[in-house]
Amino acid sequence: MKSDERTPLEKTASLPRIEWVLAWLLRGGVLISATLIALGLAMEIPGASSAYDVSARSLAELLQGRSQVSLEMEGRIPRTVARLWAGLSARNGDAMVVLGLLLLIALPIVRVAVTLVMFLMERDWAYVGITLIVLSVLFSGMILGKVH
Amino acid sequence: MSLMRLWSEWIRDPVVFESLLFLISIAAGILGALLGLGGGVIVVPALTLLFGIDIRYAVGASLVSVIATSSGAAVAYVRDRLTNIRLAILLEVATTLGALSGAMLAPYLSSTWLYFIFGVTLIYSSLVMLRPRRSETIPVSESHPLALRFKLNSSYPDVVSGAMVPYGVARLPFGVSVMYLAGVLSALLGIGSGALKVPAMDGAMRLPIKVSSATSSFMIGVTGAASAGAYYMRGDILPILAAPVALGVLLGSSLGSQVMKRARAPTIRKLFVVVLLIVALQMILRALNGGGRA
Repeated sequence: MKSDERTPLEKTASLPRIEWVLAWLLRGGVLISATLIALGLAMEIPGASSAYDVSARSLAELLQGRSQVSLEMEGRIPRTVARLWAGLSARNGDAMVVLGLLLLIALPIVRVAVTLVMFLMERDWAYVGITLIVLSVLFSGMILGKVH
Repeated sequence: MSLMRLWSEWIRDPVVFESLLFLISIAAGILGALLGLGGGVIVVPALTLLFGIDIRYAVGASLVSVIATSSGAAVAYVRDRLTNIRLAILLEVATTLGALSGAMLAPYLSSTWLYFIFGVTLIYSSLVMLRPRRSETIPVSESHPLALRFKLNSSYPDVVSGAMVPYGVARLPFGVSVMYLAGVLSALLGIGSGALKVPAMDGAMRLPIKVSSATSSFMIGVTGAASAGAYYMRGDILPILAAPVALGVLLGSSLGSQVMKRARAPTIRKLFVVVLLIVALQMILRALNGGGRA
């Protein structure tokens, strides 16, 4: 492993810009997700759509402690991009909520990806490798879940 | 008896339910920010004990809020240059693998087991809260040889002098193992597992306290995302639960961190330990009742 001759101070000083961008990206991402979720919820207020009745029925099931809620609820969790897009096009509040939630889940992955770029810029190949491992674990989580 | 009936009738209304969840989540977020314990340990028991929701859906909803809080807190730590990125990423290999294992394992564990493990973890977490935060940091020269190899030693800005204080990292293999376990628990229980990560870092690995908090906060979000992906694809993250919880915890933690700048509350901490222990007992009781309603 190559030894880094820069002092710790110089090392951290070289990080700032991209880390700042990242941190603000995250904050912006959180705000956007929160807005999407809030808007989506607002769209489902009673009277606005039939989604409210579906919610009421699904809620009844949930409160009974059911471990497998009905297909009605399941159908509102889009698991493909196509389904999500369809929901959004139909101005389905639930789809907007889901979009916000997915964005929230994606943010840490973005964070790791930016860290990867950081290591690439520093030509720290060992850590590029390690970060790639983390990224692949993150993605396999999603793939394996789908297979289940 | 009629009070229970009243409660059951009221919460059947989606608007009431969502609002209630939202408020409870705000409280969870505030407490989490004040006490350094994640919102997950409040959210999951609230959903399961108060509303009778199946623990799997509670965990799914809580995971999203855990991720959200971590991302929201990022700015502060980057600004303070406390996060040890290399250490975080290296340890993340362990936590994400743990989270993946946990997420795969979860469907095969009965609710009984989940409640029990949750209760035990809660007891442990409350005891950790009583632990005095003090770290005996070590110089770089005393780092574990692997830590040096992986360039994990770094430095952090000392508030008083403004200088960058270097520190070393001890007991790396032990730290890695604890991180794996933390990942598994995070995936099974929907918590951030800070109670495992932080003591491992500032206790065993001798990191400065602030560095360990910052690094742990970074890691919690990534660990959460590792299991959340699987949970979502399985359909265990229900928008009706995850949405108000995520919003509430986000709002609560930003409120809480504002308050934190002014108040220092050791008495709240002790009170909370008592509350947590009671909740832990409830969770274990539910486990002993076979995972059904106590």
